[in-house]
Amino acid sequence: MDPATVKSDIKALIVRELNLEGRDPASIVDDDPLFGEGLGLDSLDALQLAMSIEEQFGVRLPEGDAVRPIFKSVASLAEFVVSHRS
Amino acid sequence: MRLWVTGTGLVTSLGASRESTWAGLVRNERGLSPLSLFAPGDARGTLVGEIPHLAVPIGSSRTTELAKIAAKEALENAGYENGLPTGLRVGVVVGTTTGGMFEHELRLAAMRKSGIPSLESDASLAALRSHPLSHTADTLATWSRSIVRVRTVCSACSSGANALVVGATWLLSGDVDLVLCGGAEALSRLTFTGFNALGAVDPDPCRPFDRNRRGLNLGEGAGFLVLERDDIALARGARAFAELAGWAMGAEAHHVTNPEPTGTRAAEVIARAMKRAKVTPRDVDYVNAHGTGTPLNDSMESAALRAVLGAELSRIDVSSLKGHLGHTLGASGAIEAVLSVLAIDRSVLLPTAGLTDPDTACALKHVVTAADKSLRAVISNSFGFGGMDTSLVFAKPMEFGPHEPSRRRAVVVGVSSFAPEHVSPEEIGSHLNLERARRLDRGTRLGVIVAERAKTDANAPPSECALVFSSAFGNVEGSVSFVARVLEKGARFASPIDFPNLVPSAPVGHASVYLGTRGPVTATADLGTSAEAALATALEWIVSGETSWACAAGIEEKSEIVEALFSPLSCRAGEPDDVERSEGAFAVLIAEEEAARANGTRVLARIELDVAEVGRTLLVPPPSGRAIVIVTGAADAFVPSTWKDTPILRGDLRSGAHEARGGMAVASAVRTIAEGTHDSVLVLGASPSRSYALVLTCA
Repeated sequence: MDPATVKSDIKALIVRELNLEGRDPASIVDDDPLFGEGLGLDSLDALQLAMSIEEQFGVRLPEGDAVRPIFKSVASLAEFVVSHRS
Repeated sequence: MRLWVTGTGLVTSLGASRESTWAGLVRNERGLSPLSLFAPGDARGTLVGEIPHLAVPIGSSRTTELAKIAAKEALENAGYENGLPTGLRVGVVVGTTTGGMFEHELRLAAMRKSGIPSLESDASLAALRSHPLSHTADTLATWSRSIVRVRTVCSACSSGANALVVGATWLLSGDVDLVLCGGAEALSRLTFTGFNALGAVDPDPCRPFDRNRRGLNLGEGAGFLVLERDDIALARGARAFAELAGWAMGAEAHHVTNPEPTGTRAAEVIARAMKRAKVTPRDVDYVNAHGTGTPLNDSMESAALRAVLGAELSRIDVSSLKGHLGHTLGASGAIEAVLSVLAIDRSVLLPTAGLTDPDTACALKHVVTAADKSLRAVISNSFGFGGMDTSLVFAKPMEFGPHEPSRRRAVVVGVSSFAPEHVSPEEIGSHLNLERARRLDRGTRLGVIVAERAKTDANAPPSECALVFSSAFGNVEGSVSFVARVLEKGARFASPIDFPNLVPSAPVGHASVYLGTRGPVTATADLGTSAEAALATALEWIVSGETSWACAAGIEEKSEIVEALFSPLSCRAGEPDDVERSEGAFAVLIAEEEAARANGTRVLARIELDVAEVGRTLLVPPPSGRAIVIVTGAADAFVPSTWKDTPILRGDLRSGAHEARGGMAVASAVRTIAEGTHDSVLVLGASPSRSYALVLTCA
C-alpha cells in the first residue's frame, strides 16, 4: 500500500470524522503534532480517530500509552497503518 | 422553612427496595454481574449493575417501572401508603437520561432499513408512548389528584440530583407543599455501547479512587425522596430522616465529556451548596462522592474537595457507592441522595467497593468497610457530561438553616426566535466560530445561535446565567443512527464523538461550553409543551432565587420518526390539523427584576406562570389594557374565564406545529408588548397531561 495515499486518506479522514469544517485536508502537514498544539485535537478526537482508522483500514490501534507515539502525527499514523495492514 | 426528607425509596442492582439495598451496601456486596438484558456484542467491559426479573408491561419502560417501585416506596415510607390527601399541593420531578430507549431502540433502528411504518398500519406502535423522556413523570402524575406540578429534567449524570433541586425550588417559592422527586434510569444498548466507545468502562469491577482505576460499570435503578415543608410534616406527625439543607448547580463550561481537571468549577458549586446550607467545613462529617472510577473524575473530585474543605478534609470520611451499584447515570444523584439521608438517619458510613490501592491524586479519608458514626452534615456530589455539576447537602434535622421562602419578580430581557427550516447549514455555520463549534450538531448550533441572540442585548453576566433547553424527544434521529450502526458493524464501531451528543442535555451542555455560561444547566421535555416546560423551569429558578439570569430555549428539528410516530401520539393528539409540522427555535432570557435594573438591562416585559394538570383550572391575573391571548395546539380549550372576551390568536399558524411553538409564541408576545402594541398577553399551551399559562405584561 502506497504510504503517500495512506497519508492523504488519513488527512481526509481527520477532516471528515472530526468535522474540521473549512479545513483543506492537504493543508495538514505530515509531521505536525495532532494533539495539543498543532491541530489541537483532544482525547475524544483520539477515540474517534482510532475507531475510524480501524473501520477504514482494518487496522486496530493499541490501547493506553502504547498508542501515544502512533498518534504523534499523520506520518506516524500512516506508518503504523502501512506496516500493520495485512 | 425547612425541607424535610420524610420518605425514601430505592431499587438497585443490590435489591428492589431501600432495606435490601442498604443491607447489601453495609455488607459491602457488589451488585455487578455480566450483562444479560441484551447481547453485549464485542464491547470491552460487560459488567453491569442490572435489575433482575423486572416486569415491564407493553406501553411502559424499564425506566418508568423502576421509578414506580422507588416512588411508591418513598410515599409509603412517608406515611402516604393510602394516597395523598386532598388539598395538599404535591409536585413530581423526575430526572432521567434515556427514558424508554431500551424498549424501542431495536425497533427504531430497524426502521433505518425497512422504512417507517404508519401508526394506522401497526397498532403495536402505540407502545412508543413510553419512549419520550417525560413518560416516567407523566405516569407518576396520574397517581393522585393532589399532584399539581410535574417536571422532567435531564442534566446527564446529575439529573437525579437536579430533580431534588427543582423540587426544593418549588417548596421555597410556595408552589407546592410536598414533592416526590428522584431519578430513574434503565440500561440500554445506546448507553452501554456509548460508554464503551468512550473507553470509560472498566472491564473489571470498577475501582473508585484507586491507582489502577480504569473506568465505570454502568448500572440501572431508581431513587425517590419525599421532600416536605417542616410545618406541614410536623402537623401530621411525620418524622424527618434528614433535611435537605443546601444545594447548588453550576456549569463547568469546559468540555463535553472531560471534567475541568483542576476541580475549580466543581469546588465553586460545592461551596455554594454549603453556603446555602449555612454549613462550614467543620460541620461536614461525610462526603458521598460522585466517584465514578474514571481516571479523570476521581482526581478532579478529590481536588475540588481539597479546595473547599481544606484541612478539615483529613477528618471527613469519603466514599463512592458506584463500586456496588454501578453508575446509574440519571438515577445516581437521587439514589445517592437517598443513601446519604439513610447514612445520617442511621449513623452509618457506607464504604467504597473496589478500592485497594488509593491513588495519591485521590488522597482522601476513604471508607472501605461500613462503620458506625454520627453524621451532622453530608455532601452528595453529581457531575454530568457537559460539566453539569450539582452538589446537595443533607443534614441532621434542625441543626442548620433554615431557608428563607423566596418569591421574586421575573422579567423578560431578551428574546429570539426563528424557523430554521429554510436556513442552509452554511448560513447556520456563518453565525458560529466553526473551530469551537465543530462538535455541535445542527440542533445544538440552532440552540446556541438563539441563546446568544437573546443574551446579546441584555448583557447578562455569563458567570451567573442559567440555561434551560427543551426538546420533546431529544435527538431521536441521531440515537437511531447510532444504534443502527452498532447493530450493523458491531459495538467497536460505535462513534465516540456522536455518543455524548445523544444525551438529551447535550445541546444545553455544549451551549454552556460555547457561550461560557457557568450558571445552572438542564434540559427538560414535556411533549407538545416542552418549550413551556423550559420557560417554566427558568422562571421558577428566578422566582425561587436559584439564579438571577436564566435563558430558556427550545429547538425542534424535522424528523421523519417524530413526524410519523411520536407527535401523533402526543402533542398533535386532538389538535387542529390545518397546520403543517415544521421546525422551530426560540430563546427567552429571563431575569430577576432587581438584578436586571441594577445591571442597566432593558426590561421588555414582566412574566408570570401557572401550570395546571388535566382537569384543573389555570389561575392567572386578569387582562389589563390592550390584551390578546396566543394559543398553540389545542390550548384554546383552556382560556380562563377572565380572558374569555379577549381576542385570540393561533400562534402555530405563524410558527408551524412543533414542540417549541409555545416559546415562539412567548417571543412574539414579548415583542408586541415591547413595541407598545399590547399591554398584556396570555400565552397558552397544552399537552395531553397539562396546560401552561405564561402571562406577559408591560413592565
